[in-house]
Amino acid sequence: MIVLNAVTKIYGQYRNRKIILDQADATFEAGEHYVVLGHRGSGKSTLLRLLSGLQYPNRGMIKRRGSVAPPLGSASGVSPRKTPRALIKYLCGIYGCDEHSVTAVVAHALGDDVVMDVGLPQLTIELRAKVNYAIGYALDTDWYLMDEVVAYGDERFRSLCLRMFRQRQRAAGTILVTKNIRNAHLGTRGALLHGGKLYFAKTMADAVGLFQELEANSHADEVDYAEKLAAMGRVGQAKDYLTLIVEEDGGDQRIFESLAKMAFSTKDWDVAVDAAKAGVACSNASLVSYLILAKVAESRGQYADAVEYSKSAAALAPKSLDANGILARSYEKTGQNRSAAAVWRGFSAPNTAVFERRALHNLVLAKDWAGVLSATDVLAGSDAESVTTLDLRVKALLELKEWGRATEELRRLASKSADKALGHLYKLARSDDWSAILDMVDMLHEVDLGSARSSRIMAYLTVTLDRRAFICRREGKERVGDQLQSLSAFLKVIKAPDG
Amino acid sequence: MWRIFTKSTSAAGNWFSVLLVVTAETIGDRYRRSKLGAALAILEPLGLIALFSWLHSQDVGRPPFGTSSVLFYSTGVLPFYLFFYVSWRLRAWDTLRRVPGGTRFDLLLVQMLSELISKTVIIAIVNLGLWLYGIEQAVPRDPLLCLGALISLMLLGAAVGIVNAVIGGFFFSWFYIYAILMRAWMAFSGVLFVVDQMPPKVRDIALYVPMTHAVTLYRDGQYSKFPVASLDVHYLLVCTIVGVLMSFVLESATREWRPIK
Repeated sequence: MIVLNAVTKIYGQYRNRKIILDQADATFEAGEHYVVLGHRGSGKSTLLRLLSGLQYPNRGMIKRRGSVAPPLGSASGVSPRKTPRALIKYLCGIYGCDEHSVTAVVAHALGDDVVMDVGLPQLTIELRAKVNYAIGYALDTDWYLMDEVVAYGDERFRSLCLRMFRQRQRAAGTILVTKNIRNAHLGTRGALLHGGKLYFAKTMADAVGLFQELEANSHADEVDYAEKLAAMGRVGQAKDYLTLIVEEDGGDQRIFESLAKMAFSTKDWDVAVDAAKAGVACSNASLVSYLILAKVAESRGQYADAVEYSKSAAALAPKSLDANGILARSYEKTGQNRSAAAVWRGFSAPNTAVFERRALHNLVLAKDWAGVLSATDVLAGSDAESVTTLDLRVKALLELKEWGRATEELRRLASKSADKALGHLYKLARSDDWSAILDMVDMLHEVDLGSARSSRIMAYLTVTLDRRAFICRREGKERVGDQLQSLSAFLKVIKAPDG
Repeated sequence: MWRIFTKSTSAAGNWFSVLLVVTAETIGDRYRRSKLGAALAILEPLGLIALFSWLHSQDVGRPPFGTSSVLFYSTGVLPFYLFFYVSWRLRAWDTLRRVPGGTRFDLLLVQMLSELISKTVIIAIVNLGLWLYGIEQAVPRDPLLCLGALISLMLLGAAVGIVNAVIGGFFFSWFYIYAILMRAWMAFSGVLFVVDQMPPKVRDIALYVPMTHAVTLYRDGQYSKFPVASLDVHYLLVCTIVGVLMSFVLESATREWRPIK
């Protein structure tokens, strides 16, 4: 167990005096795995050095029960001029470890026994870092401290580090300090280092959530500056600036969102996608990131992805025109017209009629006639009802074989566009349900079909009716044949030049 | 009860072994880091002993006490250098490399022990050399008394060093002033003379300096029949304890305003 009791750590003096830890209290339980989240300059590395005893607090007390290894990757800081072998001997003397087994583990990790006898200052930076990591994991202690990373170097060494990390987690406690919430899975207990104090959260998710809330404002100045640059037309510079911060600091939701927007505006799709994905990784509630991902996917013709991303965006902002627009369009492109219609109809935007028309269009494509009817019900009889809407309504009623209502609507359609009304009759006359036309005869006599007199559809219809009349008579249905013949004659009269 | 005792004993044993490891490392690192520095650390006091012995032989011709001027000055200069080096090391108290997993107390012990051990070894080598040369008095009359005097000088050095660290924490140039003052201070610490034989006025001033008593105590352990009329062990003890405690209080009280590593 490690206990911090009112620990205060101050750097600098006079004007440069900066309080890093301010009467921080904490208890790290033995065998637990902590992830301490903190933004840049919050004192994470200082905390580790204090815990390991490589630095002393200005005030307060740190009680350690069990041995605490130096922060991972900084073993050589204890004695920087030794050879790895001598350093191991020294550290084993301090931590009471078996020198031979530690040496064997380190030599195996480095894969080169010669390195063990070369002075640390003579080694390359990379090799020195490897020595530090290998020694850090090889020492058998009760606590392991890690600053941002648990693995380093090439693929082989990284996997070795990760294996040793998991192995150590089984038998000892670990404390990882990080500004990157993606490292949160490396521990089971979450804590937050903010304003010089340590806060322990009930769950890791709570710690991450709290950290994200704080992080949202921690880079406000940088993002504001970049956005001002972009507003001045220096988008490239703004992007580079934000990219640099991301590289140095890992970034946060706001930075990623801003970078994604800028990259999208310059059609730098790859950067936009990477930044937006990072934004989503920071927060599942990043509307901007989802929107950018959806827009890029739509622009690239990846409509299935666009559906997924815009769905997430629409879930976050149900009234978002952008999100719903992309979602509906992507549904259309993927042939999900019924879903597209539902999205278009779900709008509560000022220009509702436009979306209603698109919804109708999709319902027609989906052959959802009940849907068409329901959609047109809203406008039925109102001034906003267009000929097209009425036309679709008649079509839907005919498809649904609701002859009575269809007759009524046909009457209304004929009064507005006789041509279209006759078109429906022609299709009906050619269909298997042609007999339904007989119910409409009376209605046709009542409306003015003069405007369709010269249309070709009138000719087609009369020919079709004559043919049907002939067939009926041949089959012995004299009465029906007469009715059809009468209707045809009526239409011919209208069609006649003097009619 | 026995288990607690065993546990405590084992913990103390571990702590002590770690202390020895770090002390050995500190000594090794100090002398490994710079060959010239290591040579100077040994040659400077030896050079001073040689210089004082030569000057004295030119002037008077016979040693201030005993049969060898070199032995007399080595019994003054070397213990005084223990005090000087401990105080000089600890002037950097705020930035000294920390003992991993250790406390301030561990760090203090390591620094004091490393100087005590290295200076004791140098004293032993010098004394052995002189004994081999034929000076019988090079074998200490009472080694424990010598060790007591050395420990007292070490503690006084620690107290002065920590006070220096505190002053230097606010006024860095103090270290330069202290380095000069220290050499002058040696003259008033009974290093160059037998205190009892000093002129009364100078002696009265010198006796206020606790190191004078410590050096006299050391020589009392080295020589048989060394004049110790002016030696006040009680005063030395009080000064050492009060000095150490005061330095701790001062260090602790100003910790918040000093740039501490």
